[in-house]
Amino acid sequence: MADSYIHQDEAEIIGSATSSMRAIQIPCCLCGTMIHPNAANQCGSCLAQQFDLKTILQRGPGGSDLIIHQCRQCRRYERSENVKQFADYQLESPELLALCLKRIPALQPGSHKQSGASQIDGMMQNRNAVESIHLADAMWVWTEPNSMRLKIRLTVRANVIESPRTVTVQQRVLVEFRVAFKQCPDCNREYTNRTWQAIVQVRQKRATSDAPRKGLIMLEMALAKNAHIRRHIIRMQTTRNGFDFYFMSLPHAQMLSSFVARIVPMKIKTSKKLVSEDVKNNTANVKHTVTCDLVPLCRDDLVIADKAATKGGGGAGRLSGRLCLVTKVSSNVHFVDASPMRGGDVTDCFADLPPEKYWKAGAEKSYRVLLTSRALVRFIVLDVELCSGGNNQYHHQSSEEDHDLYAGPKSGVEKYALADVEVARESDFGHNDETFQCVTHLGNLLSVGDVVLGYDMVSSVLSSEAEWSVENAFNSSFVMPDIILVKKLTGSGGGGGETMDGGDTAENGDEKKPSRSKKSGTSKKRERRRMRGEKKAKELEETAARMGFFRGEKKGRELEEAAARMGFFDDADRMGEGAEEDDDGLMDEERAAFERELQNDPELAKELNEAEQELATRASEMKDESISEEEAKTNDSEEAGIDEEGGSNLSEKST
Amino acid sequence: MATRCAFENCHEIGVFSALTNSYCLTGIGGTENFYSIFESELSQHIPVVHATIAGCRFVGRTTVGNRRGILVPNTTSDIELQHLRNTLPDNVVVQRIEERLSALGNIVACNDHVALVHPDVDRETEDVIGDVLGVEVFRQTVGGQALVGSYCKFTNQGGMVHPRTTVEDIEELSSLLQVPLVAGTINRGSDVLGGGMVVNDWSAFVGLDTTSTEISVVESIFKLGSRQHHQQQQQSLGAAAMEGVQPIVQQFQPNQPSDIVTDMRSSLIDQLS
Repeated sequence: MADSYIHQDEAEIIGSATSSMRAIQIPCCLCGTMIHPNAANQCGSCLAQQFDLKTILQRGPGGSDLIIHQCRQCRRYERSENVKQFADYQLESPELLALCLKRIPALQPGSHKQSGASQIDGMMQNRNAVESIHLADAMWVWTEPNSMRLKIRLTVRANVIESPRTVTVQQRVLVEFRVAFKQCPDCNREYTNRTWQAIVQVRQKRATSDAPRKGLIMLEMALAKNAHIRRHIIRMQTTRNGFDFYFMSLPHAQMLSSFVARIVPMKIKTSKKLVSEDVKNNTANVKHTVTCDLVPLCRDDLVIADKAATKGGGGAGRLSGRLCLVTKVSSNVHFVDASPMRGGDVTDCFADLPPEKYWKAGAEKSYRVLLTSRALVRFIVLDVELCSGGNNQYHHQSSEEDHDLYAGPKSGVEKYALADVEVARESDFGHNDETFQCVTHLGNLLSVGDVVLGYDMVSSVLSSEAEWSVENAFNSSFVMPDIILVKKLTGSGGGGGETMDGGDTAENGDEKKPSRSKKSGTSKKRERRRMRGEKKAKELEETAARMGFFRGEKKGRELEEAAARMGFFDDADRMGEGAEEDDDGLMDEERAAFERELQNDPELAKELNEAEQELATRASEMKDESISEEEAKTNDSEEAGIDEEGGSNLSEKST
Repeated sequence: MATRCAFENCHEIGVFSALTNSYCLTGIGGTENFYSIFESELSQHIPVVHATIAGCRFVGRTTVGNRRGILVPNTTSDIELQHLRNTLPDNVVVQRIEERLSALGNIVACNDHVALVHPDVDRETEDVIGDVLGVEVFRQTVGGQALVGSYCKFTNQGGMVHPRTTVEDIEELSSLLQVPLVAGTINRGSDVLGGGMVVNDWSAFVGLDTTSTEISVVESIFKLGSRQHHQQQQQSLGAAAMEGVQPIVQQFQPNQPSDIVTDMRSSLIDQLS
C-alpha cells in the first residue's frame, strides 16, 4: 500500500513517464500482500485457503478414501470395479497414472459438485461452490515401494463462484491413494476348492504298454508353449494313457479340445452326467466329459494297412494292403510306403490319413501297429543308388554317389527320393559280411557311411498277435521287405540318448534304479512299491511343470496330495517296470526330437502357429507378446536350423 | 472513518446512496437500517435525504453531484425533483438534464473541482455539468473503462481507480485530476468501485464484504484517518472552498494501520494518565 504511494510519488517527482505499460500492483484484498490484479484480486495463498480443491479431490467414491486394489499374490492392479480385470503395471508408470486418475471421482465428467460450505470443515469459510474441475497436469511423487501409498501431484483448473463473479483457479494438489489388497479372480480360482463342471480326457491307447506315446508328448509340448490355452484349466492329472484337464464350464473345455484337435489327430466325444436337478426352476447341475481319443499311431511306427481299409473310399488309398511307416503325425497321420517299388514315383509312396477316417466304424482295426520305435536297429549305409525313375531328374550328377543331399527346406533338393541302398547291421559291421538291399524313400538324405535306424524284419520276433495279423492283410502284390529304413542318425552323435535298441532297455532300467542290498521278499516288494510311488510323483510334477502349471512350490505338493488322494499311487503297482524309467529318457529325447522337427519341418511349425493364431484372434484379449515371442522364437529357431544345416553337419532327419 | 454497511443484504451500497460534502441521498429501503447508519454518522453535519429517482431506489447510480449542485436524469418525476429541491440546502442547485445515457452516476465521476465524463456524452451535457457543478470537465476513460463513474471514485483528497489500470494511466489521471490516485478494490476484490462505496472528504461508507486491507487502503488514500479527521472536517465544512490547484506533490504521510494503533495508544495514555 505504501509502496504504491511511494511509487506514485516517485513517478511524479521524476516526471518522466515510463514508456512501457506496466500493470499496477494492488494489495491482496484479504492479506495485504502486493499482487498483480487478478479475477479474484486475492493472492495465491488466500485463494488456496478459500477454495480448497484438495478436500474435493481427495474424496473417494462414497466419501471414503481413494483406494486402488492390488492382488496380494500376483501383484496386479485392479483396473475396473465391475469387470474385475487385473493388469500388471509398473510403479510410476503412465498406465498406473491413468488408472489412478480414473479413480478420482472429482475429475470424472458429470460428477456433481457440491458447495464447499456443506462439507465437514466448519472452520473453512467456504461459501463458494466449485464447478467443473479440469485436469491440467498430473505427475508422480515418489513413495516407498512397499508403503501401500501412491501419491500424485495434480494441477487442476476449477471455476469457483465467488459471488458475483466466477473465478478460474489453478492449483497444484497432492492426492494420496491407499493401496489395498484384493484377491484377483485368477488367484481366487487357484485357491478355492471348486468342483469342476467339465473335464477333457485326452487318451492315446497304445497296444503295448511299453510303446512310446509320442502323440502325448507332442501334445504336452504344444500346451507348454502356449500359456493362453491353459488359462481356464483348474486342475490337471496324468493317467496311464493320457491327461485329464478340469474346467469350470463346457465352453472352456471345448476350447482346449478344439485346440488339441489341430495338433494331433483325434476323435472328440462329449457326454454329460446329471448331478442334480431342480425341476421347479428348470435347471440342472450337469458335468460334461469331453473324451479325446488320439490316434494310437505314432511317428516311426510300422503299420499294417489292411487291404480292407479301402472300403468306404477312405483310408490310406494307395497304401492299403501294404506295410506303412508313419512319417509325421500332425492333424493328420502321414504314411510312407515301407517297401516302395523301384520304378515308381516318390510322391506315390505317401498318403495321409485324417483322423475321421481312422475312427470310422471298423477302420481302426485296419491299421495295426506291427513294430514301434523301440524295435529300431542301427545300420550302416554301404551304398546309395538313386532310382532314376519318375521326376527324380538331376541335371548335374557326376557320379551316382555324389548326389546332392537334402539340406533344409530351401536347399533346392527334394526331401524324399527313392533310392536303392545297401546296408549292414552295425553289430554285423566288421564281424561278418551280411548285408541287405532295400528300397527306401530316404534317398536324398543318405550318404555312404551314415548310421541309419531301421526295422530289421529278418531277425525280429513279432508277437503272435502281430504274426497273425500279417496273414490276411496284405495285397498279393506286396512283398515283405527285409529291412525298412526309418531315420538317419546325426553324424556327430548329437542324439546321445537315442540308442533305442530293444536289447538295451533292461540295462537302462537297472542303472536308473538305485542299487540296493539284498533284502527279503516282502521288504523288497515294499521297497519297490515305495520307489515306484516316488517316481510316479516326480513324473507327475515334471509333467505338470512342463505344461506350465506350476507357479510355486505349493502347487507341486498340492498336486501330489491330490494325486495321492485320487489313488494315483496305486496305479504304480500295476504298471510295468520298464515303462517308467524309459519314459523319462524318452521324454527328453522326444523333446529334442520335437524341437528339431519343428526346425526342419516348416509345415508342422506353421500348423502349430496357425492353431495358436486362431486362438489369438478368437480371444478378445490376447497377450500378443507371448504369441509373437513364440513365433519369433520358432522363426528364429527355423532360421538357426537352416543356417546350421548349410554346413556339412546334417542334423537328424525324420523320415 | 470508513463504515461498513449493507443495503438489504446487498453490499453494493454505492448503488443506493450518494454522498457529497454538503448532502447525502439514500434510497428508500424496506427497513431504515441503511438510512440510520448514514444518519448517525452524518446528520449532525449535513442533511441525509430519502429519495427516489423515477420511482427507483438506486439513486447512487442515476444522480451525480458535488457540494455545489446535483444533476438528475430526465426520468426524474416532478415530485421527486421538488422533493429534492425542498430537502437539499439552498446553495445546492438541482438540475434535471436531458441525456441519452441516463445513469449519470455511472458516466460521471466528480469532486468539487474536476469531473471525468464518459467519452460519449453530449456536448450540452458536458456544458451543463461544467456550469451546474462548477467543475472542469474531462472526457476520459479510466484504464480502458468508459464507465468512469463506476470504476473510479475520487474526492478532493484523493481517489481510487480499478485495479486493471496501468501505471501510466494512473499517472496521467492523477495529473489531470490533481489528486493522488491509487488502484484498489472494494467489497472483497470487486473492481466496481463506484458501486461498492460512497465517500466524501471526511467519511466513507463501504460494503459489508470489504476486507480490512481494502478499508485501510480507502482510509489512506481518501485521508480519512482519525488523525486528519478533524482537520478535514473543518476544511470541508468551511464555506470557502479550496479553489485552486492543489500541489501535485503531496507530502502527506500515508495512513498505515500502525498509525491507527499509535493513535489509539496515545489516546489511551491521555485518558488514563
